[in-house]
Amino acid sequence: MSNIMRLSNQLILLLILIVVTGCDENSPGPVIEPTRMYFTSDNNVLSVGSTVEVEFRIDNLIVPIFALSCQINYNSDVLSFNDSTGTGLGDMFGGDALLFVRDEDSTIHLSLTQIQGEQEIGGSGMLCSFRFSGVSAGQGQIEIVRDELHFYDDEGNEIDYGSVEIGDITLVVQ
Amino acid sequence: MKLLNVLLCLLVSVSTLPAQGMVINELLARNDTTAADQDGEYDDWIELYNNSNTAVSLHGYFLTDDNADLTKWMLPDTSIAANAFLIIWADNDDMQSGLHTNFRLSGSGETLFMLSQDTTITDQVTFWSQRSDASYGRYPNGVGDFKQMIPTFSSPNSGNEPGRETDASDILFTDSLVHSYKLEFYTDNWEDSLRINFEQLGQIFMPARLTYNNTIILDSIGVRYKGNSSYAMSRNTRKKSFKLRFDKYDNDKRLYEMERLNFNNCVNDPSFMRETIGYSIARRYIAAPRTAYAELYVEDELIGLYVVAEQIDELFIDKNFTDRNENLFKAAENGAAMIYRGNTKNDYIAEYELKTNENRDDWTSLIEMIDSLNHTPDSTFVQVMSNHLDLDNIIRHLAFNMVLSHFDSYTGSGRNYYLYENDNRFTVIPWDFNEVFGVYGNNWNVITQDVFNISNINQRPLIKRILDNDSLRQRYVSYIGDMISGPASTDSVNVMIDDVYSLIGGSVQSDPNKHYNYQMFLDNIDSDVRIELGRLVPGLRSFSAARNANLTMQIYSNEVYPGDCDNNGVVNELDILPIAAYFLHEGNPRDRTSFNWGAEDALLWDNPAATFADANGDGRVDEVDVIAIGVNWGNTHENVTLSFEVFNLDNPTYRSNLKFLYSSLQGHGEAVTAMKMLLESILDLNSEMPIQYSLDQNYPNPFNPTTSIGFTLLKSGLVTLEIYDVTGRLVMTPLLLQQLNSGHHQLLLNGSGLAAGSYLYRIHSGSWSSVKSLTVVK
Repeated sequence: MSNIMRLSNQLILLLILIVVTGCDENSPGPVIEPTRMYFTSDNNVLSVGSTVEVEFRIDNLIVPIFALSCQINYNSDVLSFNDSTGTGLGDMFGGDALLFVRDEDSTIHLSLTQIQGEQEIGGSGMLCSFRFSGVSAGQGQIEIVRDELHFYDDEGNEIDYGSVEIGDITLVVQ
Repeated sequence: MKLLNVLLCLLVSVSTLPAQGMVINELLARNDTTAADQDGEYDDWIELYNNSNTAVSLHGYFLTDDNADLTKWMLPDTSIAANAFLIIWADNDDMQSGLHTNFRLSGSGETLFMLSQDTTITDQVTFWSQRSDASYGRYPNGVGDFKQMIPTFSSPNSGNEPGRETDASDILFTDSLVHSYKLEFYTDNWEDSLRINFEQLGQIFMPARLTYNNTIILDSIGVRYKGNSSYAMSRNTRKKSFKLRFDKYDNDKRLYEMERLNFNNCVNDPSFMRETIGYSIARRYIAAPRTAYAELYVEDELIGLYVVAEQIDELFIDKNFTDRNENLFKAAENGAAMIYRGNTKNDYIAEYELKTNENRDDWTSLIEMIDSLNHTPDSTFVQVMSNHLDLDNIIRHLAFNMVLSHFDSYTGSGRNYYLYENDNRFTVIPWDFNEVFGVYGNNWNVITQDVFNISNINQRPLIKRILDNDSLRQRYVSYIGDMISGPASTDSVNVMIDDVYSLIGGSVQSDPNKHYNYQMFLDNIDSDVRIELGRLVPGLRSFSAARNANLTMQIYSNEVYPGDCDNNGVVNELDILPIAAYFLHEGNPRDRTSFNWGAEDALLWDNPAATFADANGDGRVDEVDVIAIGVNWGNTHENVTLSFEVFNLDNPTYRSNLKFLYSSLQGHGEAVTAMKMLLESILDLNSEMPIQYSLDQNYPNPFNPTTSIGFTLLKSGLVTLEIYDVTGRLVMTPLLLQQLNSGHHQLLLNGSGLAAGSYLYRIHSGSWSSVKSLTVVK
């Protein structure tokens, strides 16, 4: 991203802040929603051997990013994840992005990046989806490892997104 | 077979995938009978193939076998139709009508480049010594890796392996047995007679009767002792080296087509393995003698275990070179430095011995070569010397000397080599490897010898001129890298040692006249042994590990460009491979952790290739490093030292990693598409259309806590995979009635919930089921 674009993004953010802070103290006014990463599923309950799709989403990505990497832990006593068939690219990054997924010891290692020459992305949408199967009855928690969550701009500089809210999901296997 | 596997891996590592759909698809560097050009000449040929669905103009494209002359031959204005072939004759005859290059392919190996109009290299292939009428081509056609195959001139490559080029003499060099040779002299006092013949009568032969492997009997062959310093060192022992000459008294007499054999007594080598392993590695790069082990008897007395080595003679020339009647010179015992001494034969007679064409006795080409070597200006050195020397062969030879610290060679002593004039260019043939793996010291530090800073370099113009030239120096470094990551890697050497040990261990133990005792034999396989006069003989394994580590430090760049994970100078689809191969490997972190494009100093990891996979420099190869590929996609740099062999497909872990990578990569853009195509090619997925159901053995096994289970479905369907204990009790269902497509699948099984022990895993889909066992360890 050029410096001009980066500056304009920052100006937009500043303008939003001015608008927010410039409102009458007594009026509720617009509120900046925090950036949030979380999982959703149409069905949080599944039986042993059946499969559900879990969407990995991000909302309110205010400062555009070029790439992200993260790790996601899941309870492999209850759930199984197969990275060779169980991942799909979401709408957030578009079809030209590179999605790399690797499952190691109940941890999904994920990286998602645009390719040099493409635009940084912002806003809200689905990053990718995972398919989990029930292995045995129990509660299978899927959670983002906060310390391993990183965002990058198009020059490879890490973006400090310390205020990201992260949400877990628990699938119940019956 | 193991050697073949290593070779195949090496071939994978040196072939690169093409750009723009046009590829070098097949070549034949030794064409004796396959196809002739319009004049009936059986010349070398190169086949190009258009992988795309549209015709491609080749106007302005270049082909070259010289990386110092990338525009050596420009293709004329011609085009190649979609999915079509184009044959180009590589016959150094560009005056002939049709497509004929101004260079020949080297049957002993070289690199062939194809370049586009802007001199970008679009495809290249490196090949080693080629066999007559066996081509080297991509399989699957147009996209696969190169392999030796039956030529398919101007038609799709079949991938069918050619029959092995054999002759009757191969039986004498079979490495699956210790051969047996029995000599019976026609005199009682054979030892004294042989000694007097050798020492006092001019190395004359003595007649004897030979029995080979208790089956073949040859009467009246010639036998004599052999060697110089090695003879002196074993003069007072019963185990001297022998030369057998089968045609000495009858010109037509042969033993399996061989006229002569050398029986080397392994003096200075308690391991007995230096020559066989050394030549085995050398033969991967240059023409070098075949070897075998043999027990030598005189009458019924076992003299001992010997290394049988092929003689460098006309038969060797016939077998290894295309030009079969040229001059063969041997370097003299006191060395032959290739320093210009003058323009007459007499100026060189003390340094070289002419071994063929003695009647013609023409030294002109040798003198011209040495003259040019010493006097050609730097600016035209490669161009001029390419007419006198097979530079690629020379560079491989010099690289080999450095890797195995073979300093009783041109590099050090200046001896133990032959020069053969093949296709008007001299090529080096090595000789006498009993002191490879660092035995020849003489002020050479065999572990830390600098590959560039060589103390006698001013007395070795061949080395000096090559190292003074940037492109030749780079090639030299590349070959060192190839060797220490391939045939001369510590792993490869260890495999060869194990094989040889299982073959000869018993024979060494029963050798009644071995120069060193059995314990020294065992010790020297692993570690240093002191022999006479306190001389230190490096252990094979310890030397290989230490020397390779030192060479790694010397030749690999310590500068990492984030995203160029294979350090080949460009960020592209290849860079995903090292990340997959070394995922979660850890090593030295860098001072600066960043994806910003630019050189970053790094301390090499134990596995140097993993250093570059750690794109962000945090000391760990993981998902974060993938980001650098996206951020820096397409970026290039000039600071290329070597590409790494990162995927040895014989390594189940690498193969499994790459299969996972292939399945998990998502996206439809340029990068992911290129990566997918690359992986399909590497994994040969297109040829892996299932022909039957199959369940693979899990890997690793035993395991803790995860293992990978592969299986192939002939048809799409619901699949269940279940784990049972040995009593038949179902303990886990990692995959239950999941709909999967036909093809190969990998399942990562987490066994952390299983107790240590053996289990059965059963898969079924439709009417098919299969069961295998696995073992959990804790």
